[in-house]
Formats: sequence, C-alpha cells, structure tokens
Amino acid sequence: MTTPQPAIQAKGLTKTYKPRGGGPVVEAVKGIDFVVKKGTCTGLLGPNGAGKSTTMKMLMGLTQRSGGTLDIFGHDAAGLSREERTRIALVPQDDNLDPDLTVSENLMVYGMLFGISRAVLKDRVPQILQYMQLTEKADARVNQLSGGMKRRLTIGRALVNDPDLLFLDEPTTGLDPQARVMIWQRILELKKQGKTLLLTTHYMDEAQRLCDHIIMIDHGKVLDEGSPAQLIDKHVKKHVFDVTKPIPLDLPPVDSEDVGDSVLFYVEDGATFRKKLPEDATYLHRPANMEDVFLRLTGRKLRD
Amino acid sequence: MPVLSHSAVPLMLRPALVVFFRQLLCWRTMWRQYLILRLVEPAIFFYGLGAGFAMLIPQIGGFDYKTFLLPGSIAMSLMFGSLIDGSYGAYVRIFMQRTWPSFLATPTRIAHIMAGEMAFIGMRSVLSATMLLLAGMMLGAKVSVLGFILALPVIVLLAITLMAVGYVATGLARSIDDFDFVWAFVLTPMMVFSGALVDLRVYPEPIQWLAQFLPLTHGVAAIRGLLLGTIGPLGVFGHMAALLAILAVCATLAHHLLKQRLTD
Ligand SMILES: Nc1ncnc2c1ncn2[C@@H]1O[C@H](COP(=O)(O)OP(=O)(O)O)[C@@H](O)[C@H]1O
Ligand SMILES: [Mg+2]
Repeated sequence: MTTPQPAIQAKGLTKTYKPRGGGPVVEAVKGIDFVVKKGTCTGLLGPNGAGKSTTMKMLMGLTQRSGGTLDIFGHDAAGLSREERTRIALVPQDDNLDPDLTVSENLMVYGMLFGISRAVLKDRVPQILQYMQLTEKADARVNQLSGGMKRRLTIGRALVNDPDLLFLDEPTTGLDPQARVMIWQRILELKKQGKTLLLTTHYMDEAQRLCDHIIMIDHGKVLDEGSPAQLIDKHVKKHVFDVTKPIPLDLPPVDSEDVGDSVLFYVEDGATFRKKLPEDATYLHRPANMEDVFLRLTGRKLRD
Repeated sequence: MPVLSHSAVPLMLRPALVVFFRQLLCWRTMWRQYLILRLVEPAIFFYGLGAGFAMLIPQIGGFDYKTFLLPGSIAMSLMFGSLIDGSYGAYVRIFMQRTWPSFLATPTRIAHIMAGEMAFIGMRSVLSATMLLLAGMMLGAKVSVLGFILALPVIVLLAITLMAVGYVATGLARSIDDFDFVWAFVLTPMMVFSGALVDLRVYPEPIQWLAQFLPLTHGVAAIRGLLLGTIGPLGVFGHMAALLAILAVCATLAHHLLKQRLTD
C-alpha cells in the first residue's frame, strides 16, 4: 500500500537567524519534523517566539532555511515551479496590503501577479469582496479600513488565486468575536472544498474547532502532535476540576497542577471525583480543552 | 484553475508588466503633483543659473550658456527623480510598506519587481524630460527637437541606470537615514563632476577620468551632444554602452543584496 503524497513534509527543518553586523544568533527553529496531509486543516500552535511564523516563511520561500528538508507537493519548497507557486497563498501575520491602491485594486494587482487575466478578475474580485463582506469598501484606500477589515482583505487577497494550499498566520488575532466567527465559517468552507490549510493561532477554542491535526511547538521544537481529542486525552484527561484553595484533604491522587489561587485536577471520571469533594468546596467543573493541553505542554510562564 | 492571460507577453515578463501596471495605478493619483514638481524645480534651477552665469560665461563651446545648460538640467532632473525612487522610494516599498514581500508570496520574483519599477521610471522620465525641454525652449535655450527625439533612448537608459544605483543603496541601507550617504557620495558628486553645469574639461585630468564612472557623465554627454548637434552616432553608442555597463553591474549587485535581505 502506498500512502498518498502529503501536501507538506518537513524533516530536520532548521532556521538560524544570524544578524549581520553582530548581535546574538537566534535559533528560531531547531530541527522539526512534521507532515501536513492533503485536504486537512493542520494547526501549528505555540507561544510567541516558538517559531511558527518562521516555519511559514520557510514554506513560502520568504526566508531561507538553514538545514533539513522541506517539501511541498513532493518538491523542495525553495525551488517550486511557477505553476506550483500559483497553487499556494499566504495570509501573513502582519498585514502588508498595498497602501497606495484601493481595496479592489489590491485584489486586482495580486490576482494579476498570479497570472490571472483581467477578464477573469473582473468577476472574481467583486465575488471575493462580497465573500469577505467588503463590497462597500471596494473603492476605499487601505488606510481607511478598520483592523478587522484589513484582515478580511488580507484573507480575501490570499483567495484570489483559488489556492490548493493556504497558510494562515494568526488570521484572527486582534479581531472582534463577530469577525472571528465569520472567518471561521470561511475556513470551514475552504476545508469542505478540499483545500489544505496550515493555521497558526493563539486561540485554543479556534484550534480545537478548526483543526484536524495539531502540532505543538515551543522554542523551535515539536512538543507533541495529534488530533485535538488525542492531545486532550493524552495530556489532561477528560474533566477539569478547578478547586479554589484551601484544598480539601484526602482527595484521590490524580494528576493536578497548582495555579496560584486554585488547583486544577485532571480526571477521567468526573462523577466519581465530584463525589469525593466535600459539600462546602468551591470548584468549577468543565470538560478539558486545548487550552489546558497548551498550558501543560508549554508552561505558564509569560513570554514576550 | 486560474486562467492565464493570452497576451503576447512571454510568461517570464508578465509579473514585471503587472508591477509596471501597479506603479501606474499609484501614479494615477499623483501624476500632476509629480510633473509640476519635476518641472518647477529644475526650471527654477535652469532659469536662475542660466541667467546668472550667462553674464559671466557668454559662450561655452560655441553655445550661449542657457543652451549649454538645458541638456544638463534635463539629465540632472532625471537623476533626482530616478535615484530617489530607487533609494528612498524602494526602501519604503520594501521595508516599510512591505509591498515587495507581499509580491514575493506570489510567483513574482525580485528581478520582476525591479524590471517593472525600472520600466515605469523610464516612461515617467520621458514625460518629465519632455516638459522640461519645452520649458527650457520657452526660456530661451536653442536646442534641436529632433535631437531630443533621438535622445529619448538615452534618457530612458540613464533613468533606469540611476534607479539601479538607487537600488544598490537600498540594498545596503540599514535605515532610511543612511540615504544621507547617497546625497553626500552620489548625488552631489554627480551634480558637480558630470559636466551637467560646466564643461568637464575645466577640472584636472584625474577628476575627468574618475567622472567617466558616473552614469550622469555619459547621460549628459550624449543628451547634450544630441540636443546641440555636436555628437555623431558612434559617440552616442559609446556613452550608451558605458551606461549599459554601469546598469549591468548595479542591477546585478542590487539584485544580490536585496535577495539576501529579503530572504534572510
Ligand atoms: N528576521 C528575524 N531576525 C532575527 N530573529 C528573528 C527574525 N524573525 C524572527 N526572529 C526570532 O525567531 C524566533 C521565532 O520567531 P517567530 O517565528 O516569529 O515566532 P512565532 O511566530 O511563533 O511567534 C523569535 O525568537 C524571534 O525573535
Ligand atoms: Mg508569528
């Protein structure tokens, strides 16, 4: 049996930034292996500075890798053909829309850079504007848009070439809940169309909802990977009891974590554990989620 | 699947053409301002210097000073327009607005962007040079219009070469303040030692020799020769060959520097 070729395959992928004119060398990615299967949404999660954006930039050929191999559609990511490049798009972490152009000109020029004819774009640009709810802003300049509108335009711009493989670097950071929900819908629709997505986000509910597979990285290394359910099962069990201090004595010996004012107990069987808690204990009982996994794997220490 | 355009432009050049189109779109909102600035500034310069020195220099190489000065003023105005767009302008587009990185996330490569922007500067230079020619003629310079038409390829080549010099500076600049070096070591020496304002032969020989490495020297010599009818085809081709050589060196170096910085 042959397994189908993955969309992305990284082996021992490394990136070291060497600032010219001195300064400390930064090992942003320290030899990571991962696979992104075709037609899935894979989440690349990790705290700030983990190496997520660097990985995305290496995939896009926007920064040179320092070591390892990185293949897209079975070919070296640094040497993709023009035709292969037209099947890929990026939503960068920081918007880099063209401030000298209007909203629709941004889409038009970008589409033309992908080799799409103006005749096709005449129809496609208004469609994308509508899809991203920006029709009213078609003739506005980029600096007249709100942050959320800019983000939507950046995502729309990445759809102009109808890519098979889409990189989304923190697509919803800084957006209001309405905009986030709208973008989630769009991402789920893209998944349904069979597109391959690689997504980074700091919102664990978002990752849990959108991703089939999650790769946790920190300090440039893969910590663990699996489906959201697998990761939750493996690292935090099914239930979380957030018990306010003082902690009642003689609780069963389960996996727990002191987080300051309270202690988190991770348990498989919620009903049994609840019976063991005294009547007067103050606690919160909830299903375990990706946030718990994230904090367990990457620690609670603040990052810059 | 995206439908590729059926134009006759080879696939390799299409992204460059789109970059040209992008520059044109930006310019749509500011061309009046650009043309007025590119006309008024050199015209003041031309009028002030021309009138001022005409008293002191009645004749230079058999021409009145105004006539001698106009081709130099045109070349100098191209220098400011092109070099500044290749340095400050490109720096803003690359590192501040990050327009170039956004283009590089498409099949577009750095060479396409450079080619498209240079082509645009070439076109814009033809417009601003034409306006300045007309202004100069109205102010009393006696130059040949046919010569000017013949000089258009030189004007385009000079503008593109100066843009490439600007790109080299952008490839080296660590911050936008570093372009002060361009003023001190590139713009000012070229203004003074290219023969735009005075006959190059007034300077000592080593300076005359060094001036041959300045693109503006060749631009001035060819444009002035054609506008005044004092140069043969061989002379023009010689200067164009020199410009092409400087262009090749600068464009290659700039491409190398910018590629390094954009894929660091
Ligand atoms: N251009 C750069 N030059 C030097 N260091 C960089 C550069 N870009 C990122 N880094 C460093 O590399 C590490 C990973 O950064 P990044 O990939 O942006 O992380 P993330 O996207 O996961 O927050 C950080 O320590 C960051 O400071
Ligand atoms: Mg990032």
